[in-house]
Amino acid sequence: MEILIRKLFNKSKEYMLLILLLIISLSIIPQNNNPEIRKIKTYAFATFAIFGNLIESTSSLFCSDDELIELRKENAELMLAVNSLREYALENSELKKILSFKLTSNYDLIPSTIVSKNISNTQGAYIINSGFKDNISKSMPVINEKGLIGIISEASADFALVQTLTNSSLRISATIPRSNVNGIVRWDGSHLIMQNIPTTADINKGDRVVTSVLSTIFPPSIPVGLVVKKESNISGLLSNVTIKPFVDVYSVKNVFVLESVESTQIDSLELNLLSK
Amino acid sequence: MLNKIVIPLIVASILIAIQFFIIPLIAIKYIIPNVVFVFIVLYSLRFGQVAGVLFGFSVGFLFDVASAGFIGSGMFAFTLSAFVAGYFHKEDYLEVIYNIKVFLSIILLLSTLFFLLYSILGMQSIEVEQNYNFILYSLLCGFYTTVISLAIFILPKRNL
Repeated sequence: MEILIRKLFNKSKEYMLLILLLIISLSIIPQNNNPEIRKIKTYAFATFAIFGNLIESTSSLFCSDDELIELRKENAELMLAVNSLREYALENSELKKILSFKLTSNYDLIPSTIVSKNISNTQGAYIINSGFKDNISKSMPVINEKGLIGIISEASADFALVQTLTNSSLRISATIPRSNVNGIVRWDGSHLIMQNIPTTADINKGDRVVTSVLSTIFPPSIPVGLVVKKESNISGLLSNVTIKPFVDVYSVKNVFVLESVESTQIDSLELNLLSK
Repeated sequence: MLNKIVIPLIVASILIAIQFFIIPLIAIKYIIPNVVFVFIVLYSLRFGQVAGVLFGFSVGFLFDVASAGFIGSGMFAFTLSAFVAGYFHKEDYLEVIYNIKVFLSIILLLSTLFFLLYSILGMQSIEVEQNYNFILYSLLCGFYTTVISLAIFILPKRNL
């Protein structure tokens, strides 16, 4: 019996080892949101980013781009201002007077450089060379002069991890300002889509998609992209809207982190509602 | 020990750094080759299935941690690719590598499998209509990896 088991083991040890390792790999995947695993990931990417930063600083020795960063920052600020103006134009000015609508659009931008990129059709991520020492914290939006790039998912002292628009885990509350249609935008592996929009909703090809005022993470009116396609699902009641992002996330080098302050008032309201 | 574990792990770590710091510069949109994958296939062809699977698993972990993606997805894809590559293991592994048609076919087939698995495991939910896009993406990345793998023929035979 023992010989038989040994023979069987010797014959199929490769398969047994393979199955064991594959099971271990698969069982780790659902644990990725576990705080312990997140902590390991934060330490690991911060350590790894040091090498990237070394390469980045070596290459920047040959070309100083301070002025370029300044100009890009100015561009990004202008982009945000233009979008706010676009929004204002769409709103009824009389209504604004009645409600004494008070809008603030004073965003602080933290310039940062990408030190490493994971280019993938489902797990798009960057590591940038700014961390919580530069006032960066989790959930801050990342933009450039063209529009939204992603969100900070982890931050260490000197580096931060950005989940880009091409990361399937990212969800963005967005709106089409022309018709006031709201929805959740996500990456489906090949396109940015706004899912389950009523087919009757007024959406045309070329409509701008911006972050929604309903989002508690993103400030409103950050440009996301343009509508390129609207497709009804099998039932015909709901549609999926395909969006072409303004930003080419694969070729970005410099980014800005939007220093947004969490709304404690909204948070406390939500907590109050939950406690009732 | 040194030739089978230590040196390959150091080389793999350097290749992981190259993969995330330098390879994005030659990406065509989101089509990107994977140099770490080529190294794992070479390792498996040289040392066989058991060593290849263990090496693929370890390097997959380092890759996942460095990529800041889902830990487990790279581990799975590298392990399975190393296992399949191990089927082509021969005592004289250079015979396999220098049979260009066979070597490139192995790389194309396995890299397509690798990118397909890595993409699917990186998704939280997947729909049937997306399959075509995933297969197309994997084929394009596989093809690009195959082209990049031709660079190993520049290396002197004794270094392989």
